[in-house]
Amino acid sequence: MPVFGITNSLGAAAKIPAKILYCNEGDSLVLNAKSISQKDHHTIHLHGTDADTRNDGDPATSFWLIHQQDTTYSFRAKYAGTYIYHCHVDDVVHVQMGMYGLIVVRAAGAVKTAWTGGPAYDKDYKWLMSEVDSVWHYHIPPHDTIADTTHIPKYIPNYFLINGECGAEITNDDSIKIKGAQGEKILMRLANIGFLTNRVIFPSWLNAQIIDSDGRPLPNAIINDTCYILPGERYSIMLLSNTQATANVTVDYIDMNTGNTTFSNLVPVNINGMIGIKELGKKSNRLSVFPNPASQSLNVVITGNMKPDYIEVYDYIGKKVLSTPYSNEIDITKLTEGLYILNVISEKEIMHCKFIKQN
Amino acid sequence: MLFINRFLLFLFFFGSISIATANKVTQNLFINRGVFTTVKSTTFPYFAFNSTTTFAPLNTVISILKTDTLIINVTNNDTIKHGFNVKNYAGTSFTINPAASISTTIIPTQRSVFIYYDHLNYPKNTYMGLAGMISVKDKATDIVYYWNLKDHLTSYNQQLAITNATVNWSNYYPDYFTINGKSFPDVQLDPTVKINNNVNDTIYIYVTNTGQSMHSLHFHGFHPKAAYVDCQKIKANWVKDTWGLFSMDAIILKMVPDKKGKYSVHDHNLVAVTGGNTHPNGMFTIMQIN
Repeated sequence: MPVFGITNSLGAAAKIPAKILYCNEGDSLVLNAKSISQKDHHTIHLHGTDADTRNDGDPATSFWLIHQQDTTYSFRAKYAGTYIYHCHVDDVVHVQMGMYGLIVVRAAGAVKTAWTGGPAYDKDYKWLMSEVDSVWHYHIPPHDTIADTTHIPKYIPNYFLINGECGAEITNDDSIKIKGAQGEKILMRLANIGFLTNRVIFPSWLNAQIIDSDGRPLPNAIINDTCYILPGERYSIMLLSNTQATANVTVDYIDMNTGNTTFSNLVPVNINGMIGIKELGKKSNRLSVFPNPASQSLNVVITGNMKPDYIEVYDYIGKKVLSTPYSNEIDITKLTEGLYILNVISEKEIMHCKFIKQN
Repeated sequence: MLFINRFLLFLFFFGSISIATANKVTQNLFINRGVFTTVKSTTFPYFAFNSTTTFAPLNTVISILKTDTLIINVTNNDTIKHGFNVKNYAGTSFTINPAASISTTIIPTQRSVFIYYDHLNYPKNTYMGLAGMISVKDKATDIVYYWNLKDHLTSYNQQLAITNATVNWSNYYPDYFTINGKSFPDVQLDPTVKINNNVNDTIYIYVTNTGQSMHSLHFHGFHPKAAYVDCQKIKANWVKDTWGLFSMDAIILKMVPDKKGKYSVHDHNLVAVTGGNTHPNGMFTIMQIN
């Protein structure tokens, strides 16, 4: 069906959604934007980045790009998290037509933590939810650019998307369906650019914890299998399975006026194997610990020339629970059961591995 | 100065905001029936709690300090039975016959926001307009804005104005979306909605959703912090640019702008930025930070 899009090169085919833009916390991001549109004006709104008026891409407060006009938008990525970019001209139509994508701001240095100093993760998934009313796409409501008004038909979506896909496409897409190992920490970056509310329900054994929203850490992580995401909101959810299992994550699309669930997507989740044992084997030429799981003490073995200074241990939400001068055996009796990350720190480098504490 | 003059003029004509500084505050409310006029000049039947017997589409915003004791006297100026209740405040639920009155007392303890509403035949009477805001300020000098979010479906108002009539809420698809009874661009003339302040000011936005729909308020340029939440308690002290409010939620957002400019605030269910199917005549305002 006809779509509008934001692409990375001239002549590229427009797709829903646009490509994910990546940067790191502390980076300054500059977007060179050019409008190639014979029929309407466009902007790029940097949703949630707190850009100043000039760079906000909101034609109600700054400017729009006419056909063949170009500009730059820039902002400083002060906070790691998940953001959205989308056209803000006649936004009810241009967003529906597909002019949106995600911005992922990683922790400084692209370290795999939710934010700088935040909880660590092993892999992340990015889900951008939306819907399509195909009638709007085949009969695009015309924008009166003089009055800046548009008359829209009733919104009756008939496709319900994650990253532009729906139904069987989702179950076949490795970038959407969740695959991991027991003990692996999976960060879900969830965003809603549709006009319905999303309700995402994780299986309880994934131990979902909501840790940030709209690019800001929550005061306290929320243990909850269910997350409501209203249009424009973003959430980061940490998953950590203590079992191996297969199930589905349910993504509901809820009518904001009636509260009725209009549609549900089921996303497969498959947790198979154990991350701790596999990774330790992979890294045994540098840092290893044993026994693993351990209950009383943990032996730390380093091969190579590293001259370690001290050891730090973090729990799985990123809280430091132990700090001690380096020793090849550490006492872990005071730790509660669970998965931990052990960092061995020297003047020149940091090595880490995971271990499981059991009683 | 122009802003202050406009604000005083607004209070003079509409008399809809009662700001009190005494320790004991009495607020009279009258349940009135009248006509709501939309941004596109269409009309439909509407009810409201007003401070006089003259109908005005905006429910009276009751503003007190946390040290005040609030006495609310409610008179039913309509021809049918109505109710009165303050959400999440025990002992304030009443039924009021035509021409009868009730009285209730609210003793706040902190900066907070409450929804007062007609709970009879819920959600019918609330939907028809009988839902307003009690704002409790910490200090008289607080910079405060009041946003009562609401959605309307013309045909439902026409139907529900008839005694004992019902509608099918599972087919609800509103055609107007308002803040304090106004849509864009009219809402820009309401100084209780349009934020007009300076960099580093501490601004409190008292928000209630007395509509039937969920609303998702997106702030451009800033991440306000939840200074008070009445229902979604878990969100206390969260810092977000997009705040989702379910029906009958109330929240106080605190914002300290760090840069000047103009910044939009709008429902990110972008269909709600329309009025009578025209974009952008809906839930949308533009902040001015100087």
